[in-house]
Amino acid sequence: MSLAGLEFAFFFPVVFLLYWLGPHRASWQNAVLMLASAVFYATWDMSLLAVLAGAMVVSFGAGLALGAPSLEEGPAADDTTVRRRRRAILAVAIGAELGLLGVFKYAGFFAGSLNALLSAAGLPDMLPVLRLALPLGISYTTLIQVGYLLEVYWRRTPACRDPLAYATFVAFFPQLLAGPIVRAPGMLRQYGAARLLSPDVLASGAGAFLLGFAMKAFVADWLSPRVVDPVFANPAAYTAGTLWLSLLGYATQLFCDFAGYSLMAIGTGRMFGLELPENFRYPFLSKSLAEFWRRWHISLNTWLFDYLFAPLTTGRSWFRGRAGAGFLVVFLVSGLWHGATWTFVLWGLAHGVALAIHHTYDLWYKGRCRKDRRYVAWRKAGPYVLASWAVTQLFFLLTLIPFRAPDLSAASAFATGLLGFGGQSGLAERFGLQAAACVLFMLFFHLLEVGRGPALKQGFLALPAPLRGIVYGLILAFLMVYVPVGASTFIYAQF
Amino acid sequence: MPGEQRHWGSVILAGLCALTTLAAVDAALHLVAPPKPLLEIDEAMDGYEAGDPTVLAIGSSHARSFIAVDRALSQRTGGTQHILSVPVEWGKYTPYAWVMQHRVKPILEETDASGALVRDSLRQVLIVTEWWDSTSLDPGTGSITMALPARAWQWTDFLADALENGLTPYNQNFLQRIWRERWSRSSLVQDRGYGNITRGIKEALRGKDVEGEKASYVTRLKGWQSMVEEGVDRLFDPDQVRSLEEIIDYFKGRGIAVTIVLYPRMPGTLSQKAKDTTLRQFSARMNAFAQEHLVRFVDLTLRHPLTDDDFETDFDHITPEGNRRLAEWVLDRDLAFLVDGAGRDTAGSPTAGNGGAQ
Repeated sequence: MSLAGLEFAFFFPVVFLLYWLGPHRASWQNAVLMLASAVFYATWDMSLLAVLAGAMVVSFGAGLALGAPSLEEGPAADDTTVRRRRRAILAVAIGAELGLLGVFKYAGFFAGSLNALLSAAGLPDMLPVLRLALPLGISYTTLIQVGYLLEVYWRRTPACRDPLAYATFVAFFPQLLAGPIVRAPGMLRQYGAARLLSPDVLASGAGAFLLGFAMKAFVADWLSPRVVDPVFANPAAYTAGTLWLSLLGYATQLFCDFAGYSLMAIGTGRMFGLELPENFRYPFLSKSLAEFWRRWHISLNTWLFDYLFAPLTTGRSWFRGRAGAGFLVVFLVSGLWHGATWTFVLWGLAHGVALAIHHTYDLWYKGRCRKDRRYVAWRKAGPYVLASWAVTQLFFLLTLIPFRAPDLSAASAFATGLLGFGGQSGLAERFGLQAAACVLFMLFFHLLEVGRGPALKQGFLALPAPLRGIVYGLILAFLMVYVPVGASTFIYAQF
Repeated sequence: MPGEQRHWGSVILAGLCALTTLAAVDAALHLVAPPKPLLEIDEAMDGYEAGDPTVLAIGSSHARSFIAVDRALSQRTGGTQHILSVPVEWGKYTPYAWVMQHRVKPILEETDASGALVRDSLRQVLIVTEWWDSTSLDPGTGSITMALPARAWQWTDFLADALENGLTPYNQNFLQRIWRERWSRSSLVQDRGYGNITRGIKEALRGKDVEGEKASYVTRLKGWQSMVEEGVDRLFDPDQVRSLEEIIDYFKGRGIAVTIVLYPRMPGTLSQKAKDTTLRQFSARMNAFAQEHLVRFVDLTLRHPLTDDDFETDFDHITPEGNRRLAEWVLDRDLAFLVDGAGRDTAGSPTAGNGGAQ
């Protein structure tokens, strides 16, 4: 089941009514959500439900052990023995969580890569290459649970003692498929108390869901089969102009697919009185790569920076104070998290190196600013801002080639084609009103955040209810006519 | 969360206005693409339970032509004879056999407390068919394999499949159908996948594209002709033949006479090659099959009163007026035995049709 599929229109009303018409207690609400999440999960693969349940038992138990009074309070809390015991519990629990992810997601990749290396050296294959079915959302649930364990270990959040609340926190169905990656401090508190249905919550939830659906089903699903898939399937056959168009199309598709899904998940969460974290904040307005990653897939990047980058660069290892090396590690991990292929490794490496260069440049420029105030003015001037924006967006665009290409040779063919060394084919499809509508939608969406955009948004929300209702009705009718039949799966669900 | 503090009244009002707008747009779109209610299996089975028909016409969407035959037959017999059409969209005998086993059989064999059949009027079964039905299920043609969940399943079938396989694109077709049935009067829902609304809007904005339509007609005709011509290599797939035999054996076993009726084809769309190969071979082989299985055979493929104008623009289906003409014509000739109210299948003697595609 997917949030954008028709089956969700059958599933959601039942869960919604059970949730709000039942007893006004956190335990009831969590039980309904947990049951709904189990059904949601089972519609993908019931046999792998046990994997998720097992992982949750391990992390919940480890959390309880880390927060046990004997280890948590009293004069013994700082004892070396206690510290060692807590560290051991954390290591075992995180090892189990990551081990599970490693077996299901990376065993095949590493075994395949090692065998390829051996065969290049003329040696026989050493490891069997496993091809296991990836449990739904394992990349997301693993990060949620590892984050929780670290929070409890660092004593930033108390251990959760309610298994139902914990299970719902990890596996709440809207976030299961593609995030956002929730964090213990913000969410466990919400699951600990009974939620109230308010008109604000319902209206903003429904609005976010509708916007997300439009992004996914209207823009992403229209662009994918017409502009993106055929070109990436055989890049060598297409002209440079077509390749550029397709790359822009993919950037739009990826954003609308993933940000659309995130909005739908956030909207669904709100309709249950839960506030999931923001995942996108107008990334195409970014004027530097660092800013871009604060606006794109926010929940993953804050996770990586809080739980990997920060401990790495402030700890006692070689990485201490070496931010550039930290960026490299973070983005290599991010690349591998997206998928166990060399194309994702290359994508992560490119972003890690670029962030490290940008960080060095930023330090240098700030140094100049301290010496000469004109540098401050230049940085704020139009040409500098425009150039920064263009370089940032162009870099992101180009790194989407390995991100989308099936393998390194296809990525290389696409890249050389962009420079004019490709084929002669264009896209057969004539781009009419709908292509223009997709582009306008993207532009409009981002322009709502700049200049008079926010005021315009507020102005719409302040319109009389009947007028707003008419607009929503027209949007719904438009989507029912123009959304392509058969919504595809979400891109980020495969990660 | 964005926006000002809202009250329930304003949220409900906005929701109601959204729904009213949606309904108004939908009503306006009825002018461009009115929903066309079609008889489907569920409705047919409801009709069976309520009506106890004397004749069952099972086939693809072509079986819907027998709604007109039923009207003419009822008129001629004063309502003593009644045909129930069971249209299994997209055709093929394996889905027909499934429908017979899972939908028709439970109703046909239902008994009361004394053990007597609740409905015992059924005397005749017409298998309405054409060459396409005998060809193999093509794995590349999703529309055919999804026919059962999309048209024939019930909730129990869906739940059994979903429990075994999870939600799959195959069983999701059932939910699509339920959704469409629930909103059967909505143009917005019914037009999904057909594109009549977008075409209508385009025509309203840009005018009718006569040249484009001509070109499209020629392309479609070419495709249609080559599909029929190429069909000759795929006739009488063993799985399909087994399913057809299963249907015939079941009804004959219950003493119900079976007639195989080859459906009329649009004359202007058939190339000489198609007539000489696919259609001729299918007719001959089906005639032999009917004789072997001791069932009646009626071939209307080319022998019918219809002209090209009596067919829809899809080349495949007959217009309402064409159906009326066909109904009167066949009841005067090949299906006249239905008017006589022929009894159960005791003789088992086949009546071969004459002419047709032979």
